[in-house]
Amino acid sequence: MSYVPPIKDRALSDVTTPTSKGYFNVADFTRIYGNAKLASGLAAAMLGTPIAFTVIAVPTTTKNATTILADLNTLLGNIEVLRLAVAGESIPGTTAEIKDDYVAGPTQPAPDYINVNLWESTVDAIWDNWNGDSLEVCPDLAGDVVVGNGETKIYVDCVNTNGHTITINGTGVLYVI
Amino acid sequence: MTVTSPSILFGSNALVIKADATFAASSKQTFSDLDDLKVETPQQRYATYEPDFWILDGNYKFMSATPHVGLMSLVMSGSDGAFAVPPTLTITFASVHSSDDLTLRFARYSVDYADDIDVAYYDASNVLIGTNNYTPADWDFSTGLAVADFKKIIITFNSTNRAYRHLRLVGIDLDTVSRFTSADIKEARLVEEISPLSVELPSNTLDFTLYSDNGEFNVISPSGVYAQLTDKAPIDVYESVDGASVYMGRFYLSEWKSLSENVATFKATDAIGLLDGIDYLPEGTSSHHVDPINSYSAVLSEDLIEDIMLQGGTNYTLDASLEGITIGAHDLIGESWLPVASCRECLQWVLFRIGAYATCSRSSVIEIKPIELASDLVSFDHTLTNAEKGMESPVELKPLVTGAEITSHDYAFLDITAETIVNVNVPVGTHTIVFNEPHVNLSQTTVPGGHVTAVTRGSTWTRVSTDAIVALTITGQGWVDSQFINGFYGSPPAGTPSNVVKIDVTLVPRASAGVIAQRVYDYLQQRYRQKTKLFASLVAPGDSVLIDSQGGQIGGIVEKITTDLARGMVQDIEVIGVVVP
Repeated sequence: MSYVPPIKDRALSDVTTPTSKGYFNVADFTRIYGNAKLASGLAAAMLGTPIAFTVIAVPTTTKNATTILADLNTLLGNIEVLRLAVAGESIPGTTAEIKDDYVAGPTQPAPDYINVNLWESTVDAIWDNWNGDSLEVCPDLAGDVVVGNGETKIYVDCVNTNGHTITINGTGVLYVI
Repeated sequence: MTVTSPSILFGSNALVIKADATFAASSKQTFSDLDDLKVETPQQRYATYEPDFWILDGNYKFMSATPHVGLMSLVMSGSDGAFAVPPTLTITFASVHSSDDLTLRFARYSVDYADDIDVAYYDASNVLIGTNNYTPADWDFSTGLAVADFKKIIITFNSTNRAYRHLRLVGIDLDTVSRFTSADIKEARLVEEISPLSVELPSNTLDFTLYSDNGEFNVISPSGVYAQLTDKAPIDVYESVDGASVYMGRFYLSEWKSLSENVATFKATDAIGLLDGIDYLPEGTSSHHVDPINSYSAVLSEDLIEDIMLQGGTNYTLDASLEGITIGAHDLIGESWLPVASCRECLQWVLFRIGAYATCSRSSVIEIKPIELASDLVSFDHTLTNAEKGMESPVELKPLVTGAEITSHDYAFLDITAETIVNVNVPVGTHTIVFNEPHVNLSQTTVPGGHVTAVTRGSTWTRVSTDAIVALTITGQGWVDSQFINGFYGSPPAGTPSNVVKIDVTLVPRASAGVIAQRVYDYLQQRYRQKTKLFASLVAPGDSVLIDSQGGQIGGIVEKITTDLARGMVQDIEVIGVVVP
C-alpha cells in the first residue's frame, strides 16, 4: 500500500454540479485512511515516539449506513491525534483542528467538501514534511542493507529481501510503515 | 435548532385504506422500518457509500440507529440498474378495497427511484386481478389506475434509474391524497384536551388556513382535489420534528370557509366530536343485553362501550384494565340506567362510572384509558427542566375541595300497574319514541290495529314501523328511583369553609357511589395547575410529567395542549398535579 496522491482542491462547483471530486466514495475513505496510516507511521518514526492509530476496516459500497458515522469519526480521530502529535514541528497546513465528533441525525452538521479537503491536506502536509514520497515502497533489495549506528531507515508497506540481509547496527532503526 | 414542519392530508379513501394496510418487504436494511410507510415520513439525505451518491455539500447527514427512511432494500442494483433479485413490497389488507390511484414516493433529494416496476392486485380469494408494468421517470410516481375489490398488492421493483443503488421507497399513497405542507399551511392551531374524571368528554379541535395559488378554494364550485372535501371528511395531521414524523391525530372536517378562491379556513374535530350528533339507543344494536337496567345478566364495561361505539360508528381501543367492570346487575333488580342521549354523552357517563377517560390525541381512533392520579405516580413519562420551558410558567392553586358527593340511583321494579307512556298519532314509517324514564314490560297497540310491521325497544325507547296512519299507544311499568347521597369528605383544618362538589349521574348505583366519590375527591386534591410553553416537544395529553416549578417540582398529568403547528410547534400546556416532595 503506497501513499496515494490526495485530492485537496475540491471546489463548490464540484458539489453544485457534481463531479467525481464532489462525491465521497469508498475510494475516498480508503485513500484518506491509507494515507493517514502511512503519515502516522512516518511521523512516529521521525519523532521516535509511538502515535496511536486505531485500525478499522475500509468500507464497501453496501456498508450499513448506520455504521458509517462511527468509522468516519474513528478515521478523523486518527488524523487529529496525528496532527496534535506533530504540533511541535510547526508544520504549515496543520493548525486547523479536525472535527472528529460528528453526530447522527438530520439536523446535525455533516462534513462538506471543505472539511474533506482539510482532512486530506493535513495528512499530506505531514507526509510532505518528512518527504514521504521519497521513501521506497516495497523495494526488492539488490544487495545487503546496513542501517548504521544512529541511522533510521524507512520502507513503505514492505521490503522484499530477495535473500539479502539487513543489518542494524547500534542505535540504528528500521521502520516498515 | 429544532426544525419543524406540518403536513395536513385529505383523502377519505386513501386514509382508510392505508390504516388497514400491512407491509412486508422481501429485502430491507435492518434499520428500515416499514411502519414509516404508514405515516408521513419526511424525505432526508443520509450518507451511504453507494457509488457517487454522497455529495459533499454538507446536506448528507449521518444515519442514527432508527433513521425513518421507509423501505430501503438490502440488495443493490447492478451496473445496469437492474436488480439480480428484484425486491418486492407486499401490501395486505384486512378488508377489500377499491382505489383510483397508487402513488409511490422514492428519494426526492437524490432523485433516486425505481424506473421499472410491476404492480399486481389480488382479490379476496388471493386470485390475481391484474398486473401492470410501469416505468417511472421521477421520484414521485402515480399509476393513475383504478382497481376495484382488491385485498393484496405486490409491487416488484425491477431496476433503479442509477447503477448500484438500494431501492428507496419513502412514502406510498393507496388512493388519491391531497397533501398540504408548510408552504400551503398559513395557520394551524390544534387544541387537545382531556378530562381525567370524565365529568365532561372534550374533543380535540383543529383550525387551519390553507393557501392555494390555483384558485381552487371556491366553496361554491370547488375544483381539483378540493372537490372531495365534504362534511366529516377525514384529515390526518403530522408534524415533522427534526426529521421524525409525529402523528398528531385524525380529524374530521366540520366547517369550510373560503376567504377567497386562494385562501380557505377549515375547522375540524376528532372522532369524539363526531359522537355528538348520534343518539345512543341502549341495546339498539347489540346482540346481547347491554342496557344496565334491562339486563338479564351482568353488563360489562367492554360490552356497553362496544355498543355505544358501534352505534357511533367509531373505532376505539380500550385499555385492558378497564374490561370486566360490571355496570348493570340483573333483571328486576335494576341498579342504574342510561337515558337516550348522544353517544358522546353516554360514553362520558360510562367512563365516569368506571374511572376512565377518552382521547384521540396522536391517534386515529378513540383511546380509552384509566384515570391516573398524580399522587400515585412513581415514575413519569417526561421530565421537564427549566431549560425546556418557556419563560412564563405560572402556577395556579385551585380552590380547596373539602368533599365529594355522588347522588346514586337504585332503580327497583315494584310490579306496579302498567301506565300509558305514549299516546300519539303517527304517520306511515318508522318512528323512534324516547321516554323520560326507563320502563319495563313495554307493549304497544294501534288504532286501527294490525298495522305495526316492526318493533325494537330498549328500556327508554321504542322504535315502531307502521304501514298506515295509526294512533299509537305504548304502555309499560315504571321503576322506583331510590336516590342516595354518598359522600367522601376530607379533614380540612378547622375553620375551612365547606366546598363540596356534587355530581348526579343515573348510571351510578348506590353500591358504586362510595368508590366514585372518593375518586372524585382524590382527583380534586390535585390543586396545582402549572401552565408553561414548550417547543416541539413530544408531550401529549394524558402523559405524566415531572416539571421544574418555582424552585420545586410538580408532578402531574397534562390535561390540555394548544399547539401552533404552523410556527415551530409551539405548545402551551396545562398540567394538573401535586407538589412532589
